[in-house]
Amino acid sequence: MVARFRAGDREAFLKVYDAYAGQVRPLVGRFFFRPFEREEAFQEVWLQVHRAAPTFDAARGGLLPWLRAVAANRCKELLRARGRRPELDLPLQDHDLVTTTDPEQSARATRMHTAIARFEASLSPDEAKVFRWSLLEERGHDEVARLSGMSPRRCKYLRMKLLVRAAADSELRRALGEVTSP
Amino acid sequence: MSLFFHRRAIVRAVAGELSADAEASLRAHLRTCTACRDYYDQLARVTEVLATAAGRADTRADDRARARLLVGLAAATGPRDRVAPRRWTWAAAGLVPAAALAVLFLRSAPHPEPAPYQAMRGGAETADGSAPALLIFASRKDTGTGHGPVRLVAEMPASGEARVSLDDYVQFSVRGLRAPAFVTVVGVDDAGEVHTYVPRAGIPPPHPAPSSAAISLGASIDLARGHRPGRLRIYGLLSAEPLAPERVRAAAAQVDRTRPGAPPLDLAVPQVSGLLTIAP
Repeated sequence: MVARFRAGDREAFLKVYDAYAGQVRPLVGRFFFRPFEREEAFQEVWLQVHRAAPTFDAARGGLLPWLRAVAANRCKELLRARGRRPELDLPLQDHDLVTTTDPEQSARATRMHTAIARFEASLSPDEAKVFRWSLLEERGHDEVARLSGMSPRRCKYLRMKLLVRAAADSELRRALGEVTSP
Repeated sequence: MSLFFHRRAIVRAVAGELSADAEASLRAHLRTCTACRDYYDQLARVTEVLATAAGRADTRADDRARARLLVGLAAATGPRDRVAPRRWTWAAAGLVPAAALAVLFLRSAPHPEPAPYQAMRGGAETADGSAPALLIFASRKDTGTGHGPVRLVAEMPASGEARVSLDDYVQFSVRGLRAPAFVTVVGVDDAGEVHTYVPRAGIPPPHPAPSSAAISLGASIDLARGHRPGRLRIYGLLSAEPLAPERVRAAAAQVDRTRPGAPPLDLAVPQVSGLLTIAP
């Protein structure tokens, strides 16, 4: 599979992507805080991985460290291209990519859960169902429709409506800001 | 101002309800518009954090990222993957299917098209980073002054579905062309009736030059004449040579009205399309 990946085989590349995207994404998130920038950078990183695949040498190390190095370098290039400097000297060890818990983080998480529960309680019964099943549990529209007795179209509409309402809810925004601000 | 027109598309994009071509078009806009990008970020953070709160990955965002990567890969590896390119003016104009069609036509076309036209189709963004767009302005009829204030109701394809009423005058403009192009604008209503808005009968089609400013495509149209309430699929066709009106009407008449949105016309030219809902 590694040989096919190095040869630029698309299927092999996608297998690598599926296996490692979840581990590369947090690293990109350390360089780019805002979702849109992060998504764009994440895409650029993987296109760079595709271009650089022939240079991967399994004898010199594993695939994940190589991917991490490519990702970090690409992110720095993107920041430089935008006239920005990386704000942190980011270490690339494994443990840095794992979320650690601390008391303050726990408190923030509690406040976020409280805000979400309060927001959910303010919704009509139909909205609460869609919020829970579609936005929180991310079930498909058809499944939500079956569970709620509403049409898939209405579920889709409510999902978008609730997304906008959630983004405009001041308490929820405050709680979200706490857990998403750098 | 721009956010007003892109808000719905942004919500749909974050909710994972926007088609790939429309999302590509929106993303091209987001790269250049801070207000829209801020709104996108605001909504995207909500979905991210709700996913985190529920103790799961944001799978819809993951799926969208994978889909975008596939398109990007296709652009990087060439046409063998038969996927529309990533850096797309015409995809940015909401025209991935049309661009893919156009590529196929180009492969078999016996006569290559003039260079500026190919450049238009090529997929680079305009100098200011914007994408070609068909703008629709409307103004309510006013018995005293003739018409009320002019408002921008659509910036197709990125603005999504727009609404006007039979009491409106509408006028079309184009913005963001990369090369001079002849512009044809037609509409197809739910009953299959085809309306040709640009060019008017007996008037040569407009041939605007590349510009980041909106260029008017002619006089306004009274929707009360010949229109009925309902959906109208609007197509802006951009071509190197003037298109034969009967050919355009034939293609418009054949559009599959059972498909959602405005499916591309069977014409090998770049197209900007969108839906206009006419209220009574």
